[in-house]
Amino acid sequence: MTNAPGDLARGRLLRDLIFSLIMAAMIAFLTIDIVFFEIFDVLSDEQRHFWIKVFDLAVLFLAFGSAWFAYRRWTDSRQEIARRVAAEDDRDTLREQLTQVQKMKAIGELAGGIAHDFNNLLMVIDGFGRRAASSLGDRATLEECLNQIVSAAERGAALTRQLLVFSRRQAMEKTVVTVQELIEGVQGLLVHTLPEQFEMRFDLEDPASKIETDPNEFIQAILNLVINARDAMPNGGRIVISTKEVQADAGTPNWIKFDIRDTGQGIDEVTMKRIFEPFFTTKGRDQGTGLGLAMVYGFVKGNDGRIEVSSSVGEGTEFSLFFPSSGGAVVHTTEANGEERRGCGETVLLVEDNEALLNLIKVQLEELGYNVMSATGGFWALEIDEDYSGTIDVLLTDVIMPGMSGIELAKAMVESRPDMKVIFMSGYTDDSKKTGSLPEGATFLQKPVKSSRLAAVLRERLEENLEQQQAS
Amino acid sequence: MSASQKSFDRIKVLVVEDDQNTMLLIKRMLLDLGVVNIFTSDNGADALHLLGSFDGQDLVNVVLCDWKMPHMTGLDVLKQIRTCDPDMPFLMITGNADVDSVIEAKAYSVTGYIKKPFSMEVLRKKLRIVQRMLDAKESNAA
Repeated sequence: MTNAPGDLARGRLLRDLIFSLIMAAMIAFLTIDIVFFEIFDVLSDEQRHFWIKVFDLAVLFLAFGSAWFAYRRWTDSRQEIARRVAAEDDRDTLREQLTQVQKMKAIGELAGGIAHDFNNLLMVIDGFGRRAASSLGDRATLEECLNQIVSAAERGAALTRQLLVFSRRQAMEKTVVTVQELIEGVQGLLVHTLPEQFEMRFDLEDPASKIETDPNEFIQAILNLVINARDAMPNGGRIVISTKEVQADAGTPNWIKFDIRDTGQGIDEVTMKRIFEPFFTTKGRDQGTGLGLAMVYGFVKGNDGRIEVSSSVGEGTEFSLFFPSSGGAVVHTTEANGEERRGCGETVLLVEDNEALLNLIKVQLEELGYNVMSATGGFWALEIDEDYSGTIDVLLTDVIMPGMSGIELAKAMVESRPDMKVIFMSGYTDDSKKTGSLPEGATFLQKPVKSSRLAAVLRERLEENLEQQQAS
Repeated sequence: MSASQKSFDRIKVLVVEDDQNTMLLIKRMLLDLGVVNIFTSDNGADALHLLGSFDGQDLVNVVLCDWKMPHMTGLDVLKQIRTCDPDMPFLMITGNADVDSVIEAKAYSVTGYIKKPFSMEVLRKKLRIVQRMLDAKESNAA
């Protein structure tokens, strides 16, 4: 049984009072003893002996009493400390339990949301797939069905991309870009997104400032914020995107701040606490997945940035995205627009443990004009390596595979084929944590890989060979 | 490609084969190739017991297992091993290419196959690949 804190405090106060009284009495007795009996020597020897004994006994008794009270005070403090530690532990346990419950709830919502969105997409794929199978003779219907299936698959890929950005496992293809270039990209998309009743304004204070980011993801993040702003202003309004360079502490790069301000209905306090939660949405089920702001949050964090929100109900909302400024040189992407760069019969060893994906990429590579050898794992790839005496120009390999990772395979093969180029493919960036870091200079492709991207990267790597040969 | 005669002294092999003559032949070949750490078992259950009773990774780093065995097939052994060790190199010794079974074994990440009858050169090549896998794993971990 434990005492209530009030009782404990009262008990301690009483004991402290008695302890003080005893101490005071003891000092008084000692003073009388010393002053009257030792200094002034006012009593006869007999009387003196008697009173000295009385006083000594009293002092001894008081000394024991004070020692006992001191001991109780000490044990009390120890109990109090133990009680406080236990209470703190209880609070920690409760906090942990609460966090766990919140996590479970978030996972539940996440799983439910994913299942809902993917089921819709699967229904589309299944429905149009069956329709296509029964309309093999009707070319127009078949084409329409296949287009719908491809479009659903693309929406699925976009959904996983958003999820991966949120979980910060998305492989971002970062390049150094100027604020001007980024905002131009945003402008290009917003032209088609916003109806006429919206006024869009851009205010770039220092357009030549640079940041290192994935421009596509950046545009997607800004687009998500602008779409939210648009939805917060059902009758139209003004959206302002402004940028400026903000001074940081000495020794750290300046921040490039992107503000997205609207004149919409604002966000109330309750909603504000949850806006970055995945699958939390104030829109209807059919209008939003609740991933938009979660994606923005994940993207900003993935760029070592931070995000601030300020909002007044009825007046509008302002999102401020801060990215570290970059001192690197601007890289202009040279990916051909829609036109695939073909191979010239070079040999590619393709290694992928998912056979369906292996077959798909193999067909894509063959259509691009490459000679393809394929293997479903490291052992088979090494068998080809042992048996094939010709040149393997490129090793295109998945990263995570059972038995032998793509990184281990590359290490094993590069020893005997030093001129071979290596390109890794994977769905995650942190695969390297499980399998060792990617070798220096390795090219990494994020799955799903589009044929055009594959073609461009292959040419890029293969042309390095030509450049090296010309240089030597 | 790397045709150099590698020494296989680092290879620790467990051979699972129910036919005693074949077992003796494989063992003889392995000894001739310079493999010194050879464990044998004539059935899957004993092989699993051997792997389970010690730390399999320490004692054995590659399993050569016959496909067709009574009671417990090579595929059953593979399935059991994969539940606790997804990366152990596992080479299936198979007499005939049963396509369905091969596909099933691939689902359990069979590392590779050795078709019976096989020559010393074939076994050498397979072991050389296993050696390269182990080396790459070790250098990656370093």
